[in-house]
Amino acid sequence: MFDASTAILSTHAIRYGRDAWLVEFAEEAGDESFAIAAMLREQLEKHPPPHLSEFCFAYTRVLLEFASEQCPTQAPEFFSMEQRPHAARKRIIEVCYDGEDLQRVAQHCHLTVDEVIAVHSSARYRVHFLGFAPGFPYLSGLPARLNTPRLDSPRTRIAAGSVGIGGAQTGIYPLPTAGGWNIIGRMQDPLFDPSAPLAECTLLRAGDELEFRAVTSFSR
Amino acid sequence: MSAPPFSSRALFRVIHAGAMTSLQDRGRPGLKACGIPCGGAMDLNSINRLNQMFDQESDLACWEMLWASLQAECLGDCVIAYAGDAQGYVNECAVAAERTITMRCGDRLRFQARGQSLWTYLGVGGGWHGPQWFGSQSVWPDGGMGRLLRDGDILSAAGAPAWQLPEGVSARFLRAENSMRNSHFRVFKGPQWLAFPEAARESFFQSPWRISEQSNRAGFRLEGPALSVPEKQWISEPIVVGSIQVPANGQPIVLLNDGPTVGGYAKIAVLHPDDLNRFRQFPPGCLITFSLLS
Repeated sequence: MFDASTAILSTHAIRYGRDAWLVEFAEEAGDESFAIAAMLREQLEKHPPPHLSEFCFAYTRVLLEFASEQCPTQAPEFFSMEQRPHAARKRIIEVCYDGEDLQRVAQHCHLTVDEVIAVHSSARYRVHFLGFAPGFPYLSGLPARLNTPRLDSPRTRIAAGSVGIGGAQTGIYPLPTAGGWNIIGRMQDPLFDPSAPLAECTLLRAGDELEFRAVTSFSR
Repeated sequence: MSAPPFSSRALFRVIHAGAMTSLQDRGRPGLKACGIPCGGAMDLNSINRLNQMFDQESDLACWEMLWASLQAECLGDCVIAYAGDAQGYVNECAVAAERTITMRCGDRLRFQARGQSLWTYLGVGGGWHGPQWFGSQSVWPDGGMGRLLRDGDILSAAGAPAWQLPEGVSARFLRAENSMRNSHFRVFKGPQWLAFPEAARESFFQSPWRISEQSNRAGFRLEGPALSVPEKQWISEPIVVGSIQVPANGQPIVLLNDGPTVGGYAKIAVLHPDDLNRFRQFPPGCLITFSLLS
């Protein structure tokens, strides 16, 4: 199934409870970890190890969970495959930049509000994985100029669709939750629809490329 | 020939719903990669026994009742059964757990918690009617999947009106495990085990831990000596149910059914899967201890 030139990918595996392995495939989050994750995802989908019940990616680690008492004693191995140029799905999300912490972010970053909007909406982001809550995208690509510390005291309720900045990260809250990020705007379409079929329940998917487009009002 | 279609049939009118009553089955495993936790019943043993009793191979949902105090009036004849530590009454006569109970229109059903374990489950022959999300009826209000039961709600059957008891079920009695009061739990080393200071690892096993009132279906908080946590910060990583993470205040949190799928706090240990159901039944205020598996 793999040609002779494929090599075993160097990973570090940690046993995680009775039924899982946690495999570290990169040391830090970045373009390289993003590319390796895409490669591993393809291998897991095409050739899942026996008794694998589910897998779940984060930036640098993938969780492999097995059926009850079926976890292999050795962690599964992955192959280092030639990187095919992969066509990422491109997603453009309209954002109304009217968040309550926009001024705070501007002050912290020594920018005007318009500059914050321009910088945030001209960058290109990547969806590394979904997690924490349904449809919540872990993104990379926030320009370092916009890094803003989390709020000292998290808000108890943040509306679904709120776009925020927390430290070096930016993201969108899919569901109304408590949260400590600086809210700079909001989007209209839901990130997660529990009534949709599984393949369509999240607006974004791991591997997507994402841009935010500033709008003053939503078109519908 | 395909089965004739049937509509759901009203079986009970809820007089008192109780604090936290929701429909739960075995949950929706396999969706972590979408950020969707497995959810499902906190005590899978109980709903498995109820399912067995009704001779169903499928995964029927049951009403999961926290400190069961449900009161309901029967609107249509049916056969029910419950599992858990609460006491059930039909028309003020005590009825035993884990036995089938025939209900007649007009009967009053109620439960009274006894304080030994958290969750009691109510099943019905043919299963309860309720919406599904991703193949599971398990309710998860924070995820937009349904809501808790309210006073005045109607409980309906999913099964055909002609649903009948399989032969012999009324005499069946499935014994519950008798180990509920064992307050000792087995854990494996967590992914960040080695990063915890040795003193923290020792006191994690030496100290009894009190289950906090600040606990819910997403996780149980533990109270005890503040553990010193690693100085290093970790990048977010996937989580398995039963992971015991230690945030900066040094008080461990056991992550459970409705908890996050990914998180960044250091995890000192992971509960043995066979101890999970017993753990999730332990009420706040109880003291528990951990021991390390190799």
